[in-house]
Amino acid sequence: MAMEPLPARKKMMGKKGMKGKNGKFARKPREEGPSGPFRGNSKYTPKLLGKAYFQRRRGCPFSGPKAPKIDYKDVRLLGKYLSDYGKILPRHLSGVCAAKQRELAQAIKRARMLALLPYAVKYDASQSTFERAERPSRNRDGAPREPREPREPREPRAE
Amino acid sequence: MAFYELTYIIRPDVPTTTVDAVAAKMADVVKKHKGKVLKSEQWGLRTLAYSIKKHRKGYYTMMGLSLAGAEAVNDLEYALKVSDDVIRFMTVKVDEVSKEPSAILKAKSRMGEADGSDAVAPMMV
Repeated sequence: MAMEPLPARKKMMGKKGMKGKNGKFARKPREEGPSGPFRGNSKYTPKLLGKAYFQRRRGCPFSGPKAPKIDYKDVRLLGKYLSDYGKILPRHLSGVCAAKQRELAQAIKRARMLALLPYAVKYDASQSTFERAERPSRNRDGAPREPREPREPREPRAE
Repeated sequence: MAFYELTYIIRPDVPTTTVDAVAAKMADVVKKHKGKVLKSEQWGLRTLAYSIKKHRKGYYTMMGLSLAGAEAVNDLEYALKVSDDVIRFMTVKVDEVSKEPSAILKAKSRMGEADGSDAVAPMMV
């Protein structure tokens, strides 16, 4: 029992010593070498990301002269702002401005009330697709993976 | 006078004439309150996004109305609520009733199957 604490202390001492030595030797090159450009990266990366982000961004799709009117009857339009699970997309994904997002959310909720849009879409794990309870027949003719664009042809049920 | 949009869904297992009958009934109630039916749209048999009272499809009707007040709306909604054929309805106050057909009808006519889908869909039930 007496022997056990001794090696432990030695180890501890050794570790401390190693840490101190490593730290002293390692920190200097780190600070000088990789940390120099790293600092630069940490400063510039967000800016570069930001540029890419903002360049991609368009304005609110509902403001402007040619903007479509938000209407609970326009299922195809509202469907673009739903996730695969049928949730309303957040503004930071859709780019809709705050006022229009409120309007849009209201319209989607109205459409849901009338069973024009789903409240929730089940995820079929076996087929890794989203079940659209809304239009099972349309899933067959169109691609079920993209619920937004193909909606237009699906609407009248070609079959 | 304020403008309203009244949309309701009629259960699918009912004779097609019921759609017109209910629409006529609604028009009567509107008339009683000295309102006007500015627009009446039949969207036909549509698949519901989720089942309502165990129905997967329903006949949609949308009416653009101009009514004097809440009493008329209450009467309309009461009539719909009492009716067994109507499974869902919604009244929305709008700034104006547009004369153009609504987006759903436009999407239908684009494919040129506005009437065809009505005929085909019941067979699928």
